[in-house]
Amino acid sequence: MVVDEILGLIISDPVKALLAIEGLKKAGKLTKELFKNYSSAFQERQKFKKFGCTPSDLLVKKLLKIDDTPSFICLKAMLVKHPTLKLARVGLYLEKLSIEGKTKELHETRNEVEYEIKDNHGDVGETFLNLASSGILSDLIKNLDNLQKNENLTKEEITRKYEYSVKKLDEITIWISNRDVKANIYLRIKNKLTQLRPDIFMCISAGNATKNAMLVIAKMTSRNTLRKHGYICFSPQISRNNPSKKQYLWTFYRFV
Amino acid sequence: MEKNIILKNLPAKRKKLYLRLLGYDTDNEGFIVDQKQKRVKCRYTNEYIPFKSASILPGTTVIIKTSTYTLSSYISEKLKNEELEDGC
Repeated sequence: MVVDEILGLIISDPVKALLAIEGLKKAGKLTKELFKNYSSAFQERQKFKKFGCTPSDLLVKKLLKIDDTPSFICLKAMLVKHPTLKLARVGLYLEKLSIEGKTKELHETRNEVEYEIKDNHGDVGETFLNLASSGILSDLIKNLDNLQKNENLTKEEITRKYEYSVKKLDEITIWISNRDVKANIYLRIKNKLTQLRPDIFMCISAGNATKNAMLVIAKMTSRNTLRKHGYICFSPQISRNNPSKKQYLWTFYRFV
Repeated sequence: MEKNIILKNLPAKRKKLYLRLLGYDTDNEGFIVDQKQKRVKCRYTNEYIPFKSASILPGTTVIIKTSTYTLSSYISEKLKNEELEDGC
């Protein structure tokens, strides 16, 4: 193959061009000058291309699909250009793998990104990983969306609530386990209402623990305990983010 | 349709040649190095880039480490309004 033909192939069929260059190399005909010419041609070609090259083209497509999910669209609309959107995309992707029961892929991906995310985003990054692992990221987004609509919050106000939730996840989350009796659940929620008084807090239960949580929260709502302390709570988000059991998430918002 | 290079379809030897043509090489530990034999760092993670997980960003000769996080960072940064063609 003549040299000019290879230059043409770099534009029209770069894989064939690579093969041809490889052939020249094997035959000992790839001079420094030729290599330099081909190198310039490949670099020029690359600079004019919209697409890149990755060993994980499928992953790019899967991640782009997350951008079309209701949760991501909702979050993007709520916050516009927020620096945590890239973390939310990863979180929702992990959540999707969990919902689909792709356990192996989930663990591999989590292990792959854990160090990178913690190293680059510290506690906030860790929070997103935890939100995704617990399967509550999309529920939290749905709840914030409900809050924004019901309370007519501005973008700035809802962004503050979102940032607060992400920053204080550990402090504002009450995990209800099977061992929690009603009195204990009541006290934990009451403590948030009267002592800690965060802007927002969440109560999460799954499986058998849900019955007690549901009874306590219903009682507190009907007795007006929540409103009395300046809080409101919408209907819980019910999800199957963990394939084996339903998960309930109640979000409490402080309005005074 | 104009053809494109798909890294995962290239045998290691050919991928190495392609990276060399773009101005890179690999060191004896399998990391990407530039023409001065200096290890290249991923712009999103600040980590050295293993040959196996090198991606080239569209419209550039910039190499990044491929992971869910770096690709998500890239999408957030650049691809929002751009078309992503098949076989990238």
